[in-house]
Amino acid sequence: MLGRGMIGWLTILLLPTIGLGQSDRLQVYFKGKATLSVSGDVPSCGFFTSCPLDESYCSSFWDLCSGGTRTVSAPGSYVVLGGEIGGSFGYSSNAQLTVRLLFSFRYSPPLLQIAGFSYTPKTSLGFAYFVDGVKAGAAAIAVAGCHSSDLPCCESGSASASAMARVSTSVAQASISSSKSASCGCADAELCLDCTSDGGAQWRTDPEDSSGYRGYKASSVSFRHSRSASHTEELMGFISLSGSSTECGGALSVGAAFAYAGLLLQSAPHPLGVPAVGENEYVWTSDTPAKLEIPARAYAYAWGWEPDLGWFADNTLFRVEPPIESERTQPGFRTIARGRELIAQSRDQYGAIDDLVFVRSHLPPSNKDFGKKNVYFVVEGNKVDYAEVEIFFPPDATNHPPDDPEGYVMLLENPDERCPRWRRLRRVDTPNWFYYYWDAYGRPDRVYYLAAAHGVTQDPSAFYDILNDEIYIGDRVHPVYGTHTVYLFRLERRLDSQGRRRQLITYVDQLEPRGIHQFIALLEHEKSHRKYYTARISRCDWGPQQDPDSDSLPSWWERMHGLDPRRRDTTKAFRFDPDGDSDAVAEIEAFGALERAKKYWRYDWAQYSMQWGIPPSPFPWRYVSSGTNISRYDRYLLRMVPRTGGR
Amino acid sequence: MRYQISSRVVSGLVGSFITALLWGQTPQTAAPKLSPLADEEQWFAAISLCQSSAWRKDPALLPKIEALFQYRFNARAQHGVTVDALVAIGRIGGSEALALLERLETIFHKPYFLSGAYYREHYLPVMKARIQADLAFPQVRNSEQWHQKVERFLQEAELTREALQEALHKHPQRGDPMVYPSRGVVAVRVLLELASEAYAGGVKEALKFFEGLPLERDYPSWLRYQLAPLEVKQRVRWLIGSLTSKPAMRFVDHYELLALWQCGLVALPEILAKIEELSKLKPKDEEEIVRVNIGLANMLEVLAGYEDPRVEPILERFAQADWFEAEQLLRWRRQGLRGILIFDW
Repeated sequence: MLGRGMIGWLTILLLPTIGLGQSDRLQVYFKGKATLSVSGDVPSCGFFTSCPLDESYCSSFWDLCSGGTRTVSAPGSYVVLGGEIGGSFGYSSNAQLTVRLLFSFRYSPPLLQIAGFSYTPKTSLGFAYFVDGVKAGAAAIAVAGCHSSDLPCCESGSASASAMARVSTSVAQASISSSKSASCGCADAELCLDCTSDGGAQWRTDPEDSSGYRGYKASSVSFRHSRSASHTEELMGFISLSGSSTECGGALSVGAAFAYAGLLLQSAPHPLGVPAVGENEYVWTSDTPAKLEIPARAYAYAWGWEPDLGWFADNTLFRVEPPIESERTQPGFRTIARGRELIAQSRDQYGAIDDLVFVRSHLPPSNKDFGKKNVYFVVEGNKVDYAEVEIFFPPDATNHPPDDPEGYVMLLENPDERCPRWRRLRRVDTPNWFYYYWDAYGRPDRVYYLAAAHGVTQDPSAFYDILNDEIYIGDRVHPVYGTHTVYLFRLERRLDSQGRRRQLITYVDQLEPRGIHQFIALLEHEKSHRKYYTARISRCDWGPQQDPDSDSLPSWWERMHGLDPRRRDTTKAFRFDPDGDSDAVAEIEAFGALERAKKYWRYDWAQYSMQWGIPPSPFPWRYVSSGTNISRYDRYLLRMVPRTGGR
Repeated sequence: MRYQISSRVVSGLVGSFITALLWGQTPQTAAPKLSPLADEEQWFAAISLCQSSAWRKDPALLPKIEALFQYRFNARAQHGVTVDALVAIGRIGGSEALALLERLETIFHKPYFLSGAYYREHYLPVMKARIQADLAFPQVRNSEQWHQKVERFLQEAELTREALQEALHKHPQRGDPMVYPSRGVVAVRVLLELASEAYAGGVKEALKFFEGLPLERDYPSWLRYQLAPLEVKQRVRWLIGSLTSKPAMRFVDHYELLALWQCGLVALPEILAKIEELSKLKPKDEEEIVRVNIGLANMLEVLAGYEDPRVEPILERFAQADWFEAEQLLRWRRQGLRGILIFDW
């Protein structure tokens, strides 16, 4: 329809669509606003020749009969603008449709309040903003002749038409124009003969093939200061159509602009997952060979259109850093697209399998190979985002590398003698917890796993084999079921058995450590026994003269170090317990060592242990006196054996 | 690219569903839920309960004893509580106790139950045997019945006299209780208890069974054997004499504390008298000072186990005189805790 000078602005505000990302941690929303500005000659109260959009969207356009600007909600993350004007005499119109995309992210931070422990969760979220199907098309048709719609004939005819379309986004653009003209003179103006010129039609597109341009950019938002963040993009389509003709000419201009946008976010492991609250935790299997599976995926958010992620898949990979070695698979060797998902695939001897799959004949050799890692989502070599994960070992399995430390069933050969003589009855597999705790604690020499003790029944918890200078430690310090506690002491002035007021080591508290701390405490306890046996202070064969209370410590030494040589249980800690003052000494030294080893909770990667799930605290020492992780007697607790000099 | 505009709402919903699945990451499995460790008071109370139940032989206490196995005790306390509970169940006896032992067998299989295999192998069969023997011969009136009871007991425990002898031979003389008693030694301790009862009931031959067995290798057995032929008052006197003449306190000496307390209220006047006697002494010789102090500490410890109005004032008096042991005993006593705590019997 020509001849109507019309300036129109059609504004479209796109309706909010579905918030995707339903986890508690992150929600993703989209809101679009479309603004159409029309100037010049508006065709048929609108601007579209075709309507790929829903009815309300289209009708908004068609309702704009007088030109101008109008804004409505956009129903999708795309721009589609088309127009067609044709006729005789002349027309000129411009239309610009700008769709403003607002991607919003709502973040729910994890709640975790633990005394004595602070952590900083990852608060940045990376994503790939991508645009697909970016395409501009323009066509112009011009025809000239001698006939007009009303007689008489024309002496000559001419027409010209041009169309220009442009689409622009932050990552891809397209632009195209097309023009045609025609003219002729009529030989017989009365009969309208001998004048026909068809300039032809020229439909051109940018790009020339059917796919359209595509592109992406990595971007990110931060939740450091706020629980919500947003990212804005614009899609702009522009069409300029013009034409002119004499009375016996005709022009037609057609233009179209397309662009489709979306977001691609890492979906597994969750990029905002917090291992400190039990998220993104993965455990090697207990089998041999051992297997670890980490899902590695990304999800495309597109509103109102269905993306095809094949081109992304070709350029995407997922990888773990620090790397995890796999002997029998090629983890993440490629990425495939399946629906809206990008999925990492690994290759084993049978073919491709989903996700990152690691297979080893045994678990990794060192405790350092477990723990905190990042799973990166990488596009064309650029790290778009990452997820923090934690890798654990199954504590009770025995699929660690087959080297030290060994485990044994022990036999006490001489139960009827004062000094025990132990013999290894048979070798057993050492459980993973023991292997990796031992490894984490510096691989101490001559330390073995005690599976059981025979000969006489013996508490299978721990002992120091004095004849072979070997330490054996059993399930008493199992990461989950362990019930080892550390007895704590201070010096108090009180009466000894000789009626003298002396500084005596006195039991005041107990510490209940967990996980690797239990192991360290018991190991240090036995190491203390080793120290005193090696120094020949502690002996199993002191006679009643040197050691009347049979606690393995000679009287002279006890007097020097705050112990009562006449009481096997000076401290009153071992009242219901067989161990006497030599154990008090070992406990004091174990506590001192344990305090120096507090940081080791960070190296405890046994499933269900200190860093697994949502622990009561990652550093959950509990002192019985206070019920908290600070002892009521903290200032006075003995961390080393005191030298009281008999006073 | 598939521009399925008409189905976008549906695809959005599907997308959100998939995303919810993908992003709803949680730990793969939950950690086993274990109760926190019982504190010192709880396990002190547990042992007190077992010891007092054992001598009352009251089946109504069995549920309370069973409930103890719901607690987690620290490694040092667990053995004491477990053994005391098993011994108490054996002493209470009856079919209900037998059923309880069956249930405990399952608990001893749990991975968190430290040394479960030990209790299954060495304590459970003996306690079951004792209950069976007691059910068969509730009261032994003559030598023949005694022999039948012993035979039944050994048969149920799958032991012989030779096996008992061997077990004692292997038992460490040093009395280190970290070396747990084997089934044979536990059986000897139980048999001695049964023999003491039979002896007290007039079956003097009951103790003959033990002649030739190396009881001295297991102090609780040796002690019970020594005490069995004595009248209660004689026992009290013997034990008080021993406990107040020690040059040092070793672990095995604590069995005497328990034995004295088990003599019951008969011992109380003697203990009170001994405390007064020792309090008035002014020893000068170092060895004598030690004996007096250790003797007094021992007497106070047994005293604290009794329900009697005379107990607290005495403990208070010593506590005020800076007796650390008295302070501690008084504190526990005021928490309602009783009993003489020994580790493995």
